[in-house]
Amino acid sequence: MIHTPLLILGLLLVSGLLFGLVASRLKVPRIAAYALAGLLWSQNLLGGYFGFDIASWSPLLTNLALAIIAYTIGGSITFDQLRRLGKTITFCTLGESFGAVILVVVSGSSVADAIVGSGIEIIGAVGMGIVMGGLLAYLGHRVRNKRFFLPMVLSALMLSQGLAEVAHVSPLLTAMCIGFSARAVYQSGGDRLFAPVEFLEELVFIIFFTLAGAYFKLSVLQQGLDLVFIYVIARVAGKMLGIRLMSRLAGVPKVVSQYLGFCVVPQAGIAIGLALSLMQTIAYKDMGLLVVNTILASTLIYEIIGPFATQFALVRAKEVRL
Amino acid sequence: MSQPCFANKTSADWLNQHQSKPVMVDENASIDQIINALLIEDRRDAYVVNADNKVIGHIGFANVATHLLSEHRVTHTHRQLFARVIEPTAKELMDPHFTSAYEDELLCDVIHRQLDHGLDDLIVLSRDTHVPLGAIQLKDVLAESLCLE
Repeated sequence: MIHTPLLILGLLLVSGLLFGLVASRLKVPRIAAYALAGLLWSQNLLGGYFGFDIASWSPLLTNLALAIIAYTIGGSITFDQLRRLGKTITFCTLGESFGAVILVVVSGSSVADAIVGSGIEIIGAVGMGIVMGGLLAYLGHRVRNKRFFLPMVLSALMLSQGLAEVAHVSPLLTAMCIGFSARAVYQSGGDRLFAPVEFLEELVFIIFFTLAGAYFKLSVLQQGLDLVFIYVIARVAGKMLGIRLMSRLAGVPKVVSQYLGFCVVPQAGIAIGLALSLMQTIAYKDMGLLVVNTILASTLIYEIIGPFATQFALVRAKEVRL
Repeated sequence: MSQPCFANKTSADWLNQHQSKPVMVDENASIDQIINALLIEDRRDAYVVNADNKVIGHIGFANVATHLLSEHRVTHTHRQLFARVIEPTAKELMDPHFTSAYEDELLCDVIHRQLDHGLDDLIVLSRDTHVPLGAIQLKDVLAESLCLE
């Protein structure tokens, strides 16, 4: 039995890198390739043969990876830019999100039971994110030596993740709010605060998705095959219906409401991250593995059909020509 | 190999001998406008000015080129993806902590700063009014350095 985390992590990284290079060459999504590389080391394949143990040390890495992804997402846009995008994107995003949530929840009562009121958790995370992001932006203005930017951002993220855990607020939302708040307070392209972690993004993706793939367990997936089917259909249907409904309310062009839904089929990091974080929540620990495997299987399906769906929409909307 | 002597020369002295204006763009300029300004002048550094003509930031050629050509790259950062949709302004792309020189600073100190920050054009500001007086072009410094050998 291999318990050496660095050896396991090294093997995951090497396989992820090789699969990713092949995927890049074949022009297929690298995220699915990383997950497949991880799957190779899951309990049903090589991981079981060598007796890999990842559960004891991987949460630390996946949490940090997820925090970095969430931070860069939060910092990708500012208030001003959101305002300029106008009501189309706001309405369509709301429709997409709520449509998917409502249909997925309605389709699976066990998932619905697991959802509890989390208003305080969300408000706490937003508050903590705003404060930490503001402090980070302040430091970004004060510190001149660019070598300190990466440690500065990483320490803010690690500190906030720890505080979020202690305060029982959402670490993911906290990291996202740090990104948004830091960019807003910093008031510029934010290169100092984001470029150093963006440089790490590919490494973060490899670690994150190979680890997620390594959690794959055939027996658990077999138990929840119906759940995968329901989730895949309900999520896409919900997103499409939500977009159609809200785009009509917002009065956006018909071509947008007709085809935008096809463009939001892909699913990756945040969904897997949330599923992994569920495994660390004691109350949901039993269902965590099932959720991870459901999300992982659906991610592979979405990552395969997603690019084709997007291509179909863009061609039909006459945005691109083949 | 002999080294050129810039020890007694100030930025103002340099600008008297090598007249050069920095490329300046309005804070609301689009990526296309910034690239155009840089291409017309054949320069790689643009300085962003606000409505009061005060310099508020710097944008490098590589930064805008990366945003403009991001659709041709295999990977994108989230910021680049959004920038393709949002059409960011110069103010939203610039680095507010730009490097500059004052007219009374010695050239030997200024050159070190310019090299340290990888700038082709270093803006020279008036110490009193912070008004841009010109730019020190690295290629001019290099040319003079070679002539002195």
